[in-house]
Amino acid sequence: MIGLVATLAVASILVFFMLQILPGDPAQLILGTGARPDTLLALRHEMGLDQPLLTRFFQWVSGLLSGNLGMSHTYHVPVATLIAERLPVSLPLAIVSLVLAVLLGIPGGLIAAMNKDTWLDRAVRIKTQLLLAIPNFWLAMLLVFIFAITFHWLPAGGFSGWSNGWNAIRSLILPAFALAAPQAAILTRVTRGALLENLEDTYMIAARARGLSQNAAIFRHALPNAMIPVVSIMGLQFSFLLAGTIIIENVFYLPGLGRLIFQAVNQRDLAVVGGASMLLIASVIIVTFLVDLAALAIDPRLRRRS
Amino acid sequence: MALLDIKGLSLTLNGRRLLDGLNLTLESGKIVGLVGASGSGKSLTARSIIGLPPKAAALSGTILLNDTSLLTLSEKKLGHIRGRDIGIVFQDSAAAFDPLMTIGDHVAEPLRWHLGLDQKAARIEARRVLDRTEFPADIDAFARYPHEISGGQRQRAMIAAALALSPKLLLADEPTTALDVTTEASILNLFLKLAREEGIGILLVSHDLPAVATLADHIALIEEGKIIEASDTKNIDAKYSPRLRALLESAMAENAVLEMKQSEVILRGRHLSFSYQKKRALDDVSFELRSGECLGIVGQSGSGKSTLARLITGLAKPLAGQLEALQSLCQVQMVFQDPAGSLNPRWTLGQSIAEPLHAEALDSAAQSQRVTLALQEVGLDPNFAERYPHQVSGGQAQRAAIARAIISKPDIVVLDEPVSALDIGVRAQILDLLDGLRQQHGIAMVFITHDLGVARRVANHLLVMKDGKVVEQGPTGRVLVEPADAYTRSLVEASPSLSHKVFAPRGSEG
Repeated sequence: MIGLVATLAVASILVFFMLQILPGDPAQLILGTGARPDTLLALRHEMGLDQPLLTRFFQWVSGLLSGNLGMSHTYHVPVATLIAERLPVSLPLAIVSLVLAVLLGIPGGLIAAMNKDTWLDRAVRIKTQLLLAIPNFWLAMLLVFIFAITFHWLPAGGFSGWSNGWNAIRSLILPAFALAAPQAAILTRVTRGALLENLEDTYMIAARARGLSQNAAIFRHALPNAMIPVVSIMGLQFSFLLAGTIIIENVFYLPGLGRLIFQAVNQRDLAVVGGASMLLIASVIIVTFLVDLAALAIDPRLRRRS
Repeated sequence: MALLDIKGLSLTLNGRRLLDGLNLTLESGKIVGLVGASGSGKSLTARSIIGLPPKAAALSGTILLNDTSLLTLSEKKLGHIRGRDIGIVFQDSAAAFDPLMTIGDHVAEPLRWHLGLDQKAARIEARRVLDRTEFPADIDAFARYPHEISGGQRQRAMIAAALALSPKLLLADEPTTALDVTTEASILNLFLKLAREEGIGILLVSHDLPAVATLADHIALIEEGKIIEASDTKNIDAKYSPRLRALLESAMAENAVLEMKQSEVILRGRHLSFSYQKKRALDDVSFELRSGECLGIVGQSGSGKSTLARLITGLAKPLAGQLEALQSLCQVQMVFQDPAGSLNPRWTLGQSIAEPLHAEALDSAAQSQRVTLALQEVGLDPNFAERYPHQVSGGQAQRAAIARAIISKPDIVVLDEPVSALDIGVRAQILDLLDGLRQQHGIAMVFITHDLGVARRVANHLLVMKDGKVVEQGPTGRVLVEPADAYTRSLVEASPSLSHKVFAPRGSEG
């Protein structure tokens, strides 16, 4: 727990000072290059930009701690409100993508390992290589072309809000697939590799010798052991899915976190960039912590008996 | 009718014939020992019987279990037989358990799989089976994972898992090789009990001929996938089984000193662990030292040999485990590698030699008499008592150091590389001297060396150490002639003085 807090503290220092180093004065940007110097000074004073760096840092951090991420210069609403509006798009998208990646990836690895060196194994391996090699924005456009433009099954982009129920879910299906595809390919490879390693182990022969069929031995013994590396990879992937939505949200015109950050960087809306960055960093740290807990739950060798 | 009847069993793997027309029979309630070098095919035989040979292996011949031909059975029917009619115990109990599953659930698994018992019923039955194999009752097997119990306990649990459904045939593939001597004996006793009291037929695969000879009813020697000799264990006839006879005699001769004296254990180390600057220097080391015995501890530098010596001499306390001296007053003395460094340069040899006598409060006449005696025992003239260390040769200084170690009539002398600083001729004399002292006075010796040739020369029993762990232990002859552990084998192969080998060089892994 101390480690988590320390990581967050270091991250907050890095995020704040990096943003200060970035070229471009937010006040100048708002008023345009033709602004009068006294107007500029007044705005800088109003935004608190004339105060010493350290004072601003501590104000920012104490704001973070109380849930106040500052005001967006472009939207004139609190950053927290902006993020709260975008999370209901990005969070479900990340979770659905991860679930899809797991549902497609792990069985793929299992099938490939159980049929090692057959045509099935080769087909799975070629498919995973393709999915890893194809950039996901290109895959996204391909999906739009097939499922939205040609067959009209799913919308090509936009998000009409959760009040529209089924339509909202429909608009997330293609982006989720586009995001999940390379992650599923990674999970397939990791699962296949870990399983094949375990299939050779003596405990598998011992399980067969107790009468278990090959498949039963795989499901009872090899698969749980193979899940140890797979779970740690999944933790890395969730962080990536949450932060890595920038391209996909732009392709599908989804009003999510990724688009918010993208626009905020363009508009030098430093309060939004800083607040969103801290949120992503915190989520990565929490997910890492949860993954560690999951590893403890799976592997008794990591637990220490008192 | 035989329980197990193997006729003409051959196995080809990647174009190599690893089993070649093997014949073997086993009756219920009997133990048959299958002995041979690694790579001779003995483990492959066990794996073929239970129908789990390496994937690409091609088998021919017949294996009859109670008249059921196993080689022609479908995979599904074989599944019914495995675990129910045949159980198997593997050598490496650490690898044979799924690390994520409790010990108890491993034993319960065949009960649930074959009998369809629910978890609760299977666990009750599993606990009963664990009791049968003398698994400690105070350990909750269903809360413990494989890494949380000792090797001996794991081996008992593995036997329990193999016996859960009371199979008629138990295959034991090197079941005690990874265990220390005490645990080995109790596991072998358990096998004997299972055969005699429960009528289980046991195929004991091993390279340890003496152990097999004491336990098995019949013994078969396998070489290059063929049984070349088979005999009743009680009467191994030199005429019909010359190889077995010779092997057994050479193995027994190596043990002769120990066997004749039947000496008692005077020091026992149990699960000793020690850390040095956060590094594990000793990890779960167990051993026994008998009076009059020389226990050789071999291994490379950093293997933990000297740490073990420090524990035995009481210079350090173990972090975990116990060191039990089985006599009320057990005196330990030590001889170091460098005699020049271990003798005080400002003292005469006589003063140094007399030092351990301080506890006995002798007058100076009695003291000098003891020094003279001690000098004579190590083959030095009494006038050496007046000399200083720099006035004598290395060999003479080491003799003086030995005199100092034996003058107080200790029960145990620990020798840490006592001859490695000496040249060859002197080395032989010192080793002869030590051997003589041991036999004459019944002093137990712990002899630490990196030199296997030296170890063979003086030790009755060997402890091979690597990275703080005992990788192998046993009678010197057995360990050096037929090492069970790959590391020991590499040490033996790297040792030019150990050219003679009873078994032919190994082919492939068995």
